[in-house]
Amino acid sequence: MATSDKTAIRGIRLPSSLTARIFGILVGLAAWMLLAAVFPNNLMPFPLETLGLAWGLVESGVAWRHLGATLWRTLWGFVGSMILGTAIGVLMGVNNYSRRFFTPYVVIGLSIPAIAWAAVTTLIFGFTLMGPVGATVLTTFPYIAINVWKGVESIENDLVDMSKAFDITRPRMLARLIIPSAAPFLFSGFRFGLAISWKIVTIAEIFAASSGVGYKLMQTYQLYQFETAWAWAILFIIVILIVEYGFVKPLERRVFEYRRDADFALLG
Amino acid sequence: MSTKQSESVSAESIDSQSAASIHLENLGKTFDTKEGTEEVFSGIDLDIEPGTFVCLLGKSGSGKSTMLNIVSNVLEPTEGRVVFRNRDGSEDVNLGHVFQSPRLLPWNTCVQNIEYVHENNPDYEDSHAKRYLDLVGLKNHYNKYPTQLSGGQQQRVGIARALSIDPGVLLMDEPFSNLDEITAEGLREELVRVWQKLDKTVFFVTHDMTEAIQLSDRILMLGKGRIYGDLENPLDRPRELDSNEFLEFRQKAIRLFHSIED
Ligand SMILES: Nc1ncnc2c1ncn2[C@@H]1O[C@H](COP(=O)(O)OP(=O)(O)OP(=O)(O)O)[C@@H](O)[C@H]1O
Ligand SMILES: [Mg+2]
Repeated sequence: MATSDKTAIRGIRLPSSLTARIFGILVGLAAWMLLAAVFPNNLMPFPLETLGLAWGLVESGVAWRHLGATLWRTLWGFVGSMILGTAIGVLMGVNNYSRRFFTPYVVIGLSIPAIAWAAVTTLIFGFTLMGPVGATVLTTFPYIAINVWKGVESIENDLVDMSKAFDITRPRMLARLIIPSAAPFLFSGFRFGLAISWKIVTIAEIFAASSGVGYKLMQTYQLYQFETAWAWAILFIIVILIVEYGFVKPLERRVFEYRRDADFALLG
Repeated sequence: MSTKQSESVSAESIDSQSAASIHLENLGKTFDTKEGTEEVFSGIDLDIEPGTFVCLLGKSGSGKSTMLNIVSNVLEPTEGRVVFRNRDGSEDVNLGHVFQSPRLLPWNTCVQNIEYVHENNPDYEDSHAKRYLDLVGLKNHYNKYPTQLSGGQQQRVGIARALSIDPGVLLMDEPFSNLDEITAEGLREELVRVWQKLDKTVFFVTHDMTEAIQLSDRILMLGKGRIYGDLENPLDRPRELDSNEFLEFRQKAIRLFHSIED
């Protein structure tokens, strides 16, 4: 249904999905301009000025260094939490003993704020890659573990019985039945993990690094360069959009080709 | 419909292992539950000739699925054993399974669903899967996903999958009971047609007398923990559901079916 041209909500005809998206962006820009008009210019610059500043950062090469550092940490934080979260989630799904064993860790992990982990990992690892990466892994893995656990639990017993009746071996069942069956849950864990990894890396960078977008945001803020802080924020958003539309969405489309009508297609 | 499908079949290109016989020897099953032990059946002796189409008929809860699951090797019997024997005397027999619901992998196409069960077949090629899909009348659906098929078509894929491993015995547990009557009727005709082409023993569980009479060579009735009815089906094929012979035999079978009290 994602491609339906007209969706009627209480009699109001909404335009096609593309126009809806453009409309959404325009509303955001209008709100920004309104705020920029109300607040002093050095606190809240207009969109075009901000883009100009951002372009300046790109041209001078500063942007690459810091965006690169943040991307690099996000990548490792994300990979680490996927590995840890998937391993724990699978264990929780396949047997009761490990489910009971891990549940407290996951529940407590869900409630510890990223900033607390960032403080701890900075104390332990200092200004190394492991500071922000450690904080990200520890904050993110419980979310992934829960998703993977649900995914493993959702596997249909009928299909497992069918596989046993046809003498399918365990490795083949894993590859052809268990993993594809858990894929929607794995994917939402993946997507969620990526989304919060960014945030946690930037938070950790505020005091556990001397490079990266989080570090630059803090630095420009302390120097009262609020316009530049906005420019960094914009650059960061652009990178996230590129990752989302250049990588995550196409992957999602490929993985779920068999269920084109699935609900999350609405978010496409 | 059935004539169109018959044309698309290239059964000559399928070489089939010959049918095997089934022997139940003093078979019994008891479940241990919280309320105590529950004996489903015991002391069942039965020999089924190779190539026979057998229907196992019984009321709900009589133990049909339990017996089929033991024959399928999904459940362990409490006593006795099941033996399969090829016509050459060997006991190494392939079993094909068709379930009440199609049980297809939703993320795989028809061809991939068949390929899935050929793990131990080094000679497998997709053309093999396609031949069996042709056989059940799914020529234009090779690369469709199960959600893109009707319920009846999905069940056909399930049948093609079971036949594709060239089983000596085909085990079916109420495979048509989730389908509407018209679709089920079409599939019954197809099944008989396919069975007549390939030499297979079929062990078919149902609670529907008309279905049993239409399909079977032999009807077994399960109730009160034993086989209390064992009828040869005298009707010639193809069978007309409204012919006198059919109705007469059906009357007789139903009388026997109800001869034990609940
Ligand atoms: N796993 C089990 N544990 C305990 N009791 C069971 C189990 N499976 C089946 N039974 C019992 O065995 C009896 C036979 O069940 P079965 O499923 O074989 O019946 P059925 O003839 O296939 O019925 P239906 O026509 O409803 O499918 C029932 O009384 C059921 O409660
Ligand atoms: Mg049953």
